[in-house]
Amino acid sequence: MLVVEDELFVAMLVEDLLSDLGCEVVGPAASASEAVRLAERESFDLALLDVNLGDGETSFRTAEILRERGVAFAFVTGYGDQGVRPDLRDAPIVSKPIDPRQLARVIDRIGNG
Amino acid sequence: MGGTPKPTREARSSRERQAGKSAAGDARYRAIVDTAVDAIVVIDERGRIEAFNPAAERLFGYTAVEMIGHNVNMLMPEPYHAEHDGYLARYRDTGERRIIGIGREVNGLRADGSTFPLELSIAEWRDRDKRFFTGVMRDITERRRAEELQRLLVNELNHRVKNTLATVQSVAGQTLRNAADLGDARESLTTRLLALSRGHDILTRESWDGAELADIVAAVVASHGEVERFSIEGPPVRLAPKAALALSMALHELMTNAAKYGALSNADGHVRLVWKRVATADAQERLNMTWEEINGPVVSRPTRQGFGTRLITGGLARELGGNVRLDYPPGGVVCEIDAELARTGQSNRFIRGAA
Repeated sequence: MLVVEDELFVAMLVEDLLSDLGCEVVGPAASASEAVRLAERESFDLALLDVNLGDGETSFRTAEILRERGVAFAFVTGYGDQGVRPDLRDAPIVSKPIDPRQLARVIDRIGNG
Repeated sequence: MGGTPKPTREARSSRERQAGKSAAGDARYRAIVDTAVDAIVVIDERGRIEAFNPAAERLFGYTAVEMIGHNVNMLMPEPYHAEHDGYLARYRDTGERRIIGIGREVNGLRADGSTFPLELSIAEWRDRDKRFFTGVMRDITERRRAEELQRLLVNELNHRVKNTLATVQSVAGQTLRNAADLGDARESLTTRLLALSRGHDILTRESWDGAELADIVAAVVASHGEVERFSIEGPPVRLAPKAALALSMALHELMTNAAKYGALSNADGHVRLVWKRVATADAQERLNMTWEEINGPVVSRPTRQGFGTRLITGGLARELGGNVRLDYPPGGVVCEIDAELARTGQSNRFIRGAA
């Protein structure tokens, strides 16, 4: 699973929670450019994208690439869906702080969608 | 006594005094309108402009001479431009008030075609059988900008609070996963949260625009309390907020480990903490930083990776865009940090941009 998260400690948290769920992590990518690079080149079946990557950058370009590749993804954000670009709001949202049960449900949903 | 008394000289002069007073009163009222900071426009009940004060001239970019006699809807962008005559007609027919006596925020149209938000209040008055409306207007562009900034800041604050809670969730979770017992967990979690808080203090002092490496080091050393056991040396280096926070936490972990098992756990040990800026071939600059424990007890590599090791060798390296080596030679722990200075030097553009 590709993980994009610019906050160091949150990235560690996501890694831990995903590893509890038996997922293998690609990344975590901490910047928009690194996320795009991994999204274009690496192989993974799902992705978890932090929306706001600092310095005004977002993971929306990465989301577009994943959509073209047919890879399902969910957003992780503290903003709620208002922080997500309108054309991408059909992707599920995991809110921060992260409820491990919600994370598990969302991964199950996008994994089987 | 009969008949109508002829006006006496006194009565005549009293009327003249009244007229004189009235003229003086008109002049005073005109002066008030002419010097008002707010734009004042008077229209008749069909919307024709009767008066247009100097503040209105400045606000809309038309002269009073140009405007008197014209429809006030010239000062309104669509759809109000087209609808205003209808509003007036409806008010004449039904007396239904949408704005008169109330006031609201609307958009204005300047002579140059630009539009701007304005606060408008309207009063109605009569002179004999004619009805007039006085509009008082004030440009609220600045207020709108301040409101927008406030909205952005509240959103950003909410985002940061959520992120901070997720950070606490992360630190607490990792501490509990790695703790030997509950007492150990409580102790580690408390000192880690305090370290996180100190990092935030330094950043807050500089409005989240970054921090000096020396300030981060000084805060971590001061928290330990034995300044004389450190030799610290390095040039000024500016760190971006996230790099500063990561480094602050990494130093805290090194410090805690040294106090428990390393050079700060015995009587003679001390820590050498030095950094320098190194020029590279491609005209970039790198930061080399070394934490070296001296005269401590013999140390060995821990058998499992705890929060500190993971933070230092994984998270910090990633945050700094460089390499971090953590070694356990028998003489004492050595941690070497090699980072891109360009990466450490990014400032926090969000807050700057918003302010």
